[in-house]
Amino acid sequence: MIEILWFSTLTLYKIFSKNPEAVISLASKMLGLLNELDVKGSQMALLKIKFHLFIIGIIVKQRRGDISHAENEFKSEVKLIHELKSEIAEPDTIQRITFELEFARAYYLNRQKKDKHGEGQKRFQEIVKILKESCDKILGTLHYQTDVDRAKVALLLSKVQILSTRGTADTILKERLFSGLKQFQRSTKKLALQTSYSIGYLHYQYIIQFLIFSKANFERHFAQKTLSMEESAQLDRIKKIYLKQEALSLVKSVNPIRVLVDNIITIDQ
Amino acid sequence: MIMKLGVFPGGLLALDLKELVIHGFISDDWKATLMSLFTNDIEQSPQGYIGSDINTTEIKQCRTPVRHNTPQPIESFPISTGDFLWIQINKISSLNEVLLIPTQAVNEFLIREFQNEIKEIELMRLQYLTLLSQSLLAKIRSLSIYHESLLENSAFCQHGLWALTEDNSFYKKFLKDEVCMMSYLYNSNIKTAKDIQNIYNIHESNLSSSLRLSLIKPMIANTGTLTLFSTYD
Repeated sequence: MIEILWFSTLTLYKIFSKNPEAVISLASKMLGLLNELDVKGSQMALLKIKFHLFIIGIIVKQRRGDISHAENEFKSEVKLIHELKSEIAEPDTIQRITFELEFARAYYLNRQKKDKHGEGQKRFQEIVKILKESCDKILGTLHYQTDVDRAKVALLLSKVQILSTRGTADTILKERLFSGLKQFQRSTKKLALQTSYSIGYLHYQYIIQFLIFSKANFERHFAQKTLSMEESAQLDRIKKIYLKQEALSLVKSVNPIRVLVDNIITIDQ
Repeated sequence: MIMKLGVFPGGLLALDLKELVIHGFISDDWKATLMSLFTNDIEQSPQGYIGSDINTTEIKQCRTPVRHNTPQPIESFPISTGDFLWIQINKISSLNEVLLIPTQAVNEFLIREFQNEIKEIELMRLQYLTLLSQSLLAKIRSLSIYHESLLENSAFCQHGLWALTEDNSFYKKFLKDEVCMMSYLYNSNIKTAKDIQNIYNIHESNLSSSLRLSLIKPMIANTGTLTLFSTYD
């Protein structure tokens, strides 16, 4: 009962308080009290781990601006979780904790890349590696209740793809996003909307890349010919019409806006 | 009645008392008892804010449009408001409700002098607050006042590591079928973020007081196993 009461009290405080520092302070106070109770066992260790993960969530997500200074706090919480993990007996729970830690690390890196460190692509690759090689693998070993976690991994992957200039969504990611969307529609509208946006944006990114490719092909085709000024002007007009028609046909075939609108309508219903 | 009210430092709404009756935590004669003690003709204390009308804190982070309820007289519970010897009675017009707050002296005295006598009441209080906190989260979810984020890591999540385990006895007894959720939160008057924030503000100190180890430690010791969760959940 105390487990449920304290954790929901902390969550309510997080929801209604505007001060992340005060929320972290309450979580730390609760952890101190749990230590004072001097109760051992798997369940108590798990409760403490949840509080540490809660603190990580606040550190990574709610501290605005440059979050690189939060690295030490993040590492210190991770260290404490690893220590507590040894008290947990159930392999499934240990895997779930590892998943949460890996996901938090990927999320943290994703936040860091906004800080103009100039190592964007390298960081993107690292995030993708964590998500695909750690998170997905762990989820593969768990037998139940992984749908929302899978959806969250897909959403974070898509966010990385969108921000990465080289990225395009592969078919598997698109399928995962659509399946994640269904999960989020049942539980959380905000993440459902973010997923819809990602789906739409990735289609948009695909169209842009196709157009750049088409334009390059077009220019290569005419590059070898010597044209008069009049012919050159005509060619420019043709190019514009051609690219416009290509864009229109792509928009018609892919219709990202329609995908987005359809999903928003579904969510509202 | 003094003891049962006295252990809630933030006080209880009349709605909470009705809810406590539903859950069998108090008997249903509470209304008659309070009305006999604080009928409208009782002379009110000259101190404090007699007949005061507390407006709970504004929700600054309110994300949904605010609905203004029209205050109506609390006809169903005609009771004097004001400061009394052991209790403060206020009208909360935003909720059209009466709030009964024990004085700090009473709350502290009970904890200090009646620790053994209030053990059962304390347990009832913790159970009620657990139900209330879970019900508030459920209501927040249903009204979409707050949304789970990608890295939420809180009791707001209902999946994976964060889901309540089905072998938890408190979960099995009170939460599994959702039959024990606070019925007053599903009342038609409670529809907006402001309404929920008002209720949270009233109960914030009650929830914080669940951290009093002086009362929890003896409970754990009574289980004889040093297991926090066996007897009392």
